[in-house]
Amino acid sequence: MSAQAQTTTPERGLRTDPFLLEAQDLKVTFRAPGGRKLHAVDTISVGVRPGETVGLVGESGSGKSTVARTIMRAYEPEGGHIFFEGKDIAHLNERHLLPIRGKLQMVFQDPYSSLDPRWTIRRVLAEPLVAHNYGTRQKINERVDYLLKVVGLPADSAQRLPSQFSGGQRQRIAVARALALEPKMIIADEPVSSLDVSIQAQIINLLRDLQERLKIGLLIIAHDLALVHQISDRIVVMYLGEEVEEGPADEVVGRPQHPYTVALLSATPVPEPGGDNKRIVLTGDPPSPIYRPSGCRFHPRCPIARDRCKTEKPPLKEIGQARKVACWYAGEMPAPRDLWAMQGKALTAEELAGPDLRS
Amino acid sequence: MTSATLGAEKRPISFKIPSTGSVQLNLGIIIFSLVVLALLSQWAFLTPADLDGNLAARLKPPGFVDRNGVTHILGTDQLGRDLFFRVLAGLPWSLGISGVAVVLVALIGTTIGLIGAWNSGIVRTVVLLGIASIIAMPFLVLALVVVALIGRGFWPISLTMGFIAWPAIARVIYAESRGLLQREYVLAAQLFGVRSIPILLFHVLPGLRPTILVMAAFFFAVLLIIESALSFLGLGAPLNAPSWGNMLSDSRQYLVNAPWMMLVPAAAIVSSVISLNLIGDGVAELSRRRGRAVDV
Repeated sequence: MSAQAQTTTPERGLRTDPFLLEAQDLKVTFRAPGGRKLHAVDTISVGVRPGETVGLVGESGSGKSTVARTIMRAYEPEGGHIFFEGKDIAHLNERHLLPIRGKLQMVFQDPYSSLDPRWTIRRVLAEPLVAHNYGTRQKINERVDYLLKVVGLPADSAQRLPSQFSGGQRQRIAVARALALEPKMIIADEPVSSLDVSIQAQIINLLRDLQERLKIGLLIIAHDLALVHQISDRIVVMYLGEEVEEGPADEVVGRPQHPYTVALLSATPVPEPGGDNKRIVLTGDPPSPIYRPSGCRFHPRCPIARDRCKTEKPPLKEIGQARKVACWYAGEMPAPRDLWAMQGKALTAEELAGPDLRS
Repeated sequence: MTSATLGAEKRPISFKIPSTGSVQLNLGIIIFSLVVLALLSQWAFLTPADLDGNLAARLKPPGFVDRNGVTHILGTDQLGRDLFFRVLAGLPWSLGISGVAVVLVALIGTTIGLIGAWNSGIVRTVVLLGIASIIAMPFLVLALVVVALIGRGFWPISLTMGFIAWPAIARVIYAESRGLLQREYVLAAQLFGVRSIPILLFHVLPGLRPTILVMAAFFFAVLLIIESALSFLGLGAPLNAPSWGNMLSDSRQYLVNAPWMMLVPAAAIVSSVISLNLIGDGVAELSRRRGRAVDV
């Protein structure tokens, strides 16, 4: 809640230096039963600069994880490019990908499934090192001990099995494994959503701390906008495999332009007495990525949709510095704090400043 | 046995008999060890002469003492051969043949199952079609035809059984591996640049171990029965070899006059099969229990 020493420098999220990792117009489709196409990701562009944190937000099924896994080249994209350090890795084969895999690592959502239950922690952490011929057994052991120290686990953890650790500790192990080869870029796919709330902050702080110290580019994927706002420089909001809004974190959260972003924001609880948040509850389920709605993909659930939205698809427009939105009526949807105002409450200065989502 | 102990520090050597914690498994291991020990003991005292027939002592009941003062503990058969010695000498024929076959079955079945699970597209289709088409053929008939073509003997029978019986295991291993390959640690390993073979050997295979053990124990029993059946039908071990199936086959004509000729080899087969099944059940139960206690 307190205004902590946050990196809210004016230029937060406004850097213009070249990207370390850039996905350009990424398009991923899967074959659905019946020969139909499932459009998991449709022309998403995300860029991360060295030492920058970018949050990718969207609800379940919006294609966030597919973006992560495609960038990691678990899938080959159907269209678009993935530039890593200026090199397009979208269609490289496994042999040419190997050197890149060392520099581009991933933390998975579920630390219960991402660590082999039969492997000791030493073996888990050594796996990427061995795969990349890191060095002698002794060098590898030293590196493993160092990694454990970096993520704050006791040195004797190496002998133990994953089942002897809690979820939070397991996620630390997963982070340590991602750090093993001194990556330049880490993709964290829902790194805390399977953890207790009390543990989430630890892992988030660990990631942020490591990122600042090691100047790693970080792409955080999550469905919790408040959490992403807490650590990201920039935020990209996804809906049904498409990008709907993008901008510096404070901008997106403070002045959301797309009705979907507003709806996501209104789902965040307000940490103050009487601040009875008027939630915008989206009706219906997210539509199927096989049978997508016409026009704007969001129109069947959008509170401010008009006739035009049903037929014409809004393009992703630049509406300011590093700020993009895909909506015909961008900004017309009242942001959560205005919604509170509509409830007839007199606004305090604090409320006008918007919800403190960082706590 | 658990990998938990592998990375552990040195521990004092213990002389306790390891307890597996499963009654079935313990019972199965005890009976099976007794059977095997009894059979192995033949090399301590059995001489070739003991297997010779004595026509003066044909079809004698258990406990018969012949003119030379030799006691035939389990009686004699139609050629006056001692049944106890013969059932002991049947070890390499019955347990040996099915033992070799089951190792072969486990090896081929696991390999093919893994190949089918790891690859997609054409390779998987071919594997699954191959499995289905071999399973579709009646096993015993297929084995009979092959043995009839290539002849009897230890190796022809064991290899034939091994090469025909693997699809059932392959199918189970395939299904199980598909599940294990869904785990995120497999994807993680791939994304770290680990190659296919190490992933299969070190991530997937250890997870398959309980399944392989259980299937192998059951298949050992099944193959033992099939070997006996082949011998019984006259296409198993060579005619005079003391295979348990051969002995059963011999007993057919004397069922009324000398029922022990049937009971002795039958007891050997039944005790082996039951103990192997108990071992299989026990391993299955243990892995289930451990699965609950330890991990997802």
